[in-house]
Amino acid sequence: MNDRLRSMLGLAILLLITFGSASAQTLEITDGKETLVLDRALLESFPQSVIETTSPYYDGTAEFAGPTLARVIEHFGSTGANEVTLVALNGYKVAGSMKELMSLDAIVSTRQNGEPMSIRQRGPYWIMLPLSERPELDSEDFHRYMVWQLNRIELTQE
Amino acid sequence: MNSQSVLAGLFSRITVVLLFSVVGVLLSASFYTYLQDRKLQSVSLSALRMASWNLVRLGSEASALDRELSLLDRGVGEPAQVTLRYDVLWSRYDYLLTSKESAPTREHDSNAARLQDLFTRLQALEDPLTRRLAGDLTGWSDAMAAWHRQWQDAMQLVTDNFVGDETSRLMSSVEASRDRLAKLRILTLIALAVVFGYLALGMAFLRKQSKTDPVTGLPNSHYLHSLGGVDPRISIITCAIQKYTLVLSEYGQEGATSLTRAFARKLQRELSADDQLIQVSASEFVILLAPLAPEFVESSVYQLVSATRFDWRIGDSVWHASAVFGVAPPCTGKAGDWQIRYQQAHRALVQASEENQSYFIDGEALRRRILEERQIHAGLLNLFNEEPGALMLRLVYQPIVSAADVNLVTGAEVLLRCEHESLGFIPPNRVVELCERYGLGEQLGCWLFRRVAAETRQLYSGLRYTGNLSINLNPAMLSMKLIGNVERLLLEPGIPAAALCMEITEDNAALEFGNINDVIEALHGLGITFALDDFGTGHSSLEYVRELKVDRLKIDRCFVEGIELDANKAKFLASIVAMANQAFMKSVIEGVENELQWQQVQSFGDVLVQGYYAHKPMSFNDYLALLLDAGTRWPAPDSARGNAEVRV
Repeated sequence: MNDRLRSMLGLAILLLITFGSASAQTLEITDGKETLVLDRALLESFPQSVIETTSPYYDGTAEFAGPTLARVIEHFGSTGANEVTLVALNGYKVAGSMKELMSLDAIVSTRQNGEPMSIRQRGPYWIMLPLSERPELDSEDFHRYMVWQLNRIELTQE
Repeated sequence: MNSQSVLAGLFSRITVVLLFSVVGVLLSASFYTYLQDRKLQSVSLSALRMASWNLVRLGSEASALDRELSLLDRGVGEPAQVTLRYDVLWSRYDYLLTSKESAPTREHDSNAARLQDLFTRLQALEDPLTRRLAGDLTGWSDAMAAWHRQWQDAMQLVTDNFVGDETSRLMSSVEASRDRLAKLRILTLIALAVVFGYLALGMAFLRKQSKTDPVTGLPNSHYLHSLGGVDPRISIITCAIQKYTLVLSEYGQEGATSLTRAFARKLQRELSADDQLIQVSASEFVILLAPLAPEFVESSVYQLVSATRFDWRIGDSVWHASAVFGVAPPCTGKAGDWQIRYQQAHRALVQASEENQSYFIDGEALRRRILEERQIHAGLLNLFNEEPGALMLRLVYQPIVSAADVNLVTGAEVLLRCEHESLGFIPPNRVVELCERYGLGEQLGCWLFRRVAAETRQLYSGLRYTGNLSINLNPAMLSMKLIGNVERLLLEPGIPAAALCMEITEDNAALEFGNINDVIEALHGLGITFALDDFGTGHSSLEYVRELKVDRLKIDRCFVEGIELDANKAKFLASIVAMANQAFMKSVIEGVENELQWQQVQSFGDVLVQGYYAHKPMSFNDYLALLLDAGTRWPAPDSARGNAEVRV
């Protein structure tokens, strides 16, 4: 991909984020140089994992479905990045090492109880951890990774 | 005593209740601070951080919507962005009002209500906003005004509650808690110090108490055992109230206690400040007598003995109180273990008590005597069990003759001779006394009867001898059982009743005075006679002697001594004989040792004589030989009891 093409694409995506209503419904992955925009259809074409869990964010148990975070990052391709930053629509950012994030069995959930999630329901994408299955993850240290209204994934190299 | 009353005051109910109240109040205060701090704990720093964070997010998300709405108002806004920010804020309220994580935010003050109100107002904005985005401006300015108020309220909520406020509240709570803790710590320290002091005092009091007799306040046996050592120059005196158990059964615990008190007072009065009085039990005391020249020890003990002989009055009755003492005198040689000296003092006491003495002083002689007695005791047990032993008892016979004719042997007194393998000859009185003490009196008596019968039977069956056999009865034999014993052990083997004369002493008879005459009566019925031994040396009155139904009076040798030199003594002896005659009692004069005495005694008329002048005690074989001697005569078979009638 030549520079011109890349900058063109970058501009297009920037425009998409700034103006496109679709921007709230897509997920960007970037390593600072390249940026990939994924939509629901693509995410749901990946192998789906289901997590049925309780969480501090709602009462009772809910079922979440979506590709694993690992699969989504893999889709972007190997960049040698060892740090991942998750960014939400509301500007919330959380960074963690690739190693740690890969160890959490996290999924990029696209559906809650079989239904796509609206922004009001903290969608469209919500990083979900199997808290019920792995109680050791049910602590503030890991809750912070459970980013809702996920909008962007930044891969960096420290 | 005064210090004790102070101590008693310290341990009074009021003090204890007071101390317990203080500790109780402190406990309640601790519990209160615990509760307070638990509340504080619930406002954890992480929860605080989360609460602040959530409200900061609320603030920024509300601001983002406000920005978009302002742009929209000015006609440059992007509808999708407005919707996005609206939805994001919407989801924030939903999160703040429902999620578990945001509970601390909700639960603070009236936040829940305020959040709910703000959320409702945001929801109310949805309709006008939808219309505005569709291009319908009706009511939009009112909605914007409402939004501005709402936005300000939201920001107010953020400012009011959390930015700094909760932190400062938390800090002041922490400070208050710290102050509370500091104050409580000082109080706790003081209370701990007081309680510790109190406990220390209590321990000291208990230790003191445990070493003091509750009745007399004297140091007790615990104290005695806690003594590390006793100066060898100090005499250790043990002392026991006599017949204390009798007092206890007679006058009860209270009476006995009052006797103990009275007794302790008597002892205390005799002791100097340097002496120490210890109460070992209700009836036993130990005195540590300050160093004293050995020759004064006995007089000191004697003083104690007489001081503790007193008439103790209880109610209407009087008890003659007395005590037995055992003394370990100052130790001259190397200082030994005081416990051993204490034991020796106690041994001396026991010995004194057994021998009916008021005190004994421990010493080489006493210890030897005790050891000897133990050996004799063992020998006696062997003897009575017919086992081989170190003690040998045998009988000797001292002939009794008529004063009218030295060759007329009217009988003999059976005497005991005791010999121990290692101790040599032992005075028979001592053996008799030991037997009485060890409860072997009756066994000794029966052994004696058996032995007498075995040795002398032939005399009566073969020789048709009619002379008397005088047998000493030890105190234990003086009971109604004597009759059976005499019949079984003397009469049945073949000793004629008429030949038997039982000798009792005044003092022994006095022990059994209640039924002594019944015993005599019963044996009289069988034809047996009685003699009163050692007449004139006993402790009883003449009146009492008069009541005893004895046939013979054996006049003690002390009345014989000197009669050949002193006419008065001779007259006195004569008058005793005369008195006995008047009372129809035959006199046997003991201890006639020489010709002159013999002549004097002859002049008293029809009396019997026992003494070295006529015959010394002799073995049975010698006695038999004497009887068989041609020069010897003995009473005729049909003569009256013991009266001399010459056999041709």
